[in-house]
Amino acid sequence: MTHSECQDLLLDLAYGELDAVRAAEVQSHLSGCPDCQREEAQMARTRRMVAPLREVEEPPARFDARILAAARAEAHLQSDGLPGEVIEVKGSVQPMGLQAARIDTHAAVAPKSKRKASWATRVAVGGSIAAAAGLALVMGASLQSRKQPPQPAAQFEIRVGEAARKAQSDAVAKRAESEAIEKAELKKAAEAPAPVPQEPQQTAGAERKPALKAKAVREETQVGGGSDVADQLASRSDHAKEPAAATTSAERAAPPAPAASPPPAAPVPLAGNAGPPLAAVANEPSAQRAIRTASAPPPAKAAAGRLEVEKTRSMPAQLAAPAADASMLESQAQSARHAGNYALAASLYRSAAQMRQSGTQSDAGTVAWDLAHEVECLAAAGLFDQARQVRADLQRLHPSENMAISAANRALQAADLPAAKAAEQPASPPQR
Amino acid sequence: MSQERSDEELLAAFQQGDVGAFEALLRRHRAPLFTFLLRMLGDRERAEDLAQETFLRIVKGAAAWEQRARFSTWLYTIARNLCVDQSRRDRFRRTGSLDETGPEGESPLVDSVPGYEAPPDRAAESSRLRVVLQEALLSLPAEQREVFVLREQAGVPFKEIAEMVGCNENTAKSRMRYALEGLRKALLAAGIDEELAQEEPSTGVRMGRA
Repeated sequence: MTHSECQDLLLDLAYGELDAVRAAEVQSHLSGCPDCQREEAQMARTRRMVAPLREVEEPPARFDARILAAARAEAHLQSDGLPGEVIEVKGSVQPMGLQAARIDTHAAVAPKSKRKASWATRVAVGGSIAAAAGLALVMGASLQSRKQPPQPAAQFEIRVGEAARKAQSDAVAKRAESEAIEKAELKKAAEAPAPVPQEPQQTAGAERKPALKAKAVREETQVGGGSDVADQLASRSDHAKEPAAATTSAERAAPPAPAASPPPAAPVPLAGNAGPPLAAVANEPSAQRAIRTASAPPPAKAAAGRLEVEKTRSMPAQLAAPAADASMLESQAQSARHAGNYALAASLYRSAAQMRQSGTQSDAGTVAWDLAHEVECLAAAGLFDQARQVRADLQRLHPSENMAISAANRALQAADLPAAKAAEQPASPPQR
Repeated sequence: MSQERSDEELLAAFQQGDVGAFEALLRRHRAPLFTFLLRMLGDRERAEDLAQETFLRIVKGAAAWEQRARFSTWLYTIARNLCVDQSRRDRFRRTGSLDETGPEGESPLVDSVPGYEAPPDRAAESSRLRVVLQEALLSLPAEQREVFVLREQAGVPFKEIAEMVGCNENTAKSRMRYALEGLRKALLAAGIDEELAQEEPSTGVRMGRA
């Protein structure tokens, strides 16, 4: 071994990065080279001086909570592929998931404002049905005496109606007959004492994801009665405007009294609660009916549902303004992606990125990852040109987000082979 | 049982929805990662914030993660990039208010770490030694500091450091030499010599892996 070779390897030796053979070679040169010995000795001395910097320090105990909550939420999103995971509330949230998916398909093509309106309309219609069924199920199980089907629906008419403020009644009318069948089925379900009749519906692949998500929400909140349904509805229907991240609301929501017992707080006054939404929902005849029914006898149960709705709507709003919305979009994007609907997933990621970009500034990393996921989804959908454009945006806007950029590059690797040496330049992928 | 699994196995399990696997990962890496950021930033609160942010990004990116990348490389790359962003922001802030600090962040030793708090339960000199060490570390150019901390504290091999920071291995090693030399000078200037250092050198804390 030459002197300069040895010099190069002294650091590797000091940090134990040489294999035995190489280490022995360096040692044997060292033994006969005073220069190298001096250097090696000084390095060792310096390392002894800085040794305290190696001591590992513990972060405070509060450190883990937020991370684990996020991990749990994510895990529930990821485990959708497993059949039989969905339990209990399925009946109630299933149709919501269906609605959400349909809505977002439109979101991909429609301009923002319009998308919101049509989304809201659908939620108003579909959500009410879902809510009716869901609450009825929950109630049926816990409170057998009250089996009037339209009544539980009313509670949700009101809150969903808020999202439907700008809903157009013609859209409702158009969709009325197509949903007649669904309605009939759900009605049947609503009258049933247990969630059994809903079972067959939920094997449809695309809807399974939101259902699981709902399950995640349920598990984390551990609330009883209809409140998880309310949670779910809240997060779905608030998605366009109001932040209602599932996990956040789940963390926050104080477990209300189980369905059987009335909540201690005073019931939210119906009229006050309904303010603008009432007027909006009034477009839809069935909703009107439902509201009337609800206002007639204010049962403890209904109050519980509304209170929970209030909570989920207002509490997260103070926490993380635009981010919660975006994370909702990201969840949906992930669901769509897992369901194989890549084009939809890509557009959802794009929306999430836009939402984050217009929001807080410290979110650059997440925006970059949204864009990277968009690239991945576009590539998976075979939309390579679009994917390249998004990647270019990503590289231009977030040149320091190496991981995201290299993820985007990986997604386009196959498509890139001939063309893209230049585009890959800024990334320093840490892959092996 | 989970302790025996490699980081990558744990992450793969988490991809399948096993939250326990993620908890194991977190347990394994939380303190080393926090320490890494603490050394880089010299500020416990910011270190905590960025360490949390790092893990949150892991959570978020887990679904898209591919086995090709080693978990610890990914983890420290994220953390390191967050550090870079952070110090960029800090530089903006600093040039706005404290002009007396040197050019390009080469701030004088004493004033460079206003936020650094020594751990409360140490003996006085030992605590002073640590403060001086941390200050000396923060006086290094960031590119040297990151290589030093990644190698010395996080136990990342030079080859991987090179990948993380986007240079070649020789550059990483020469930054390491400069870092060691810079630290030695800074410590001698602060009156710290070898007698104060009782510990034996080692190859540093290895990151958990299989």
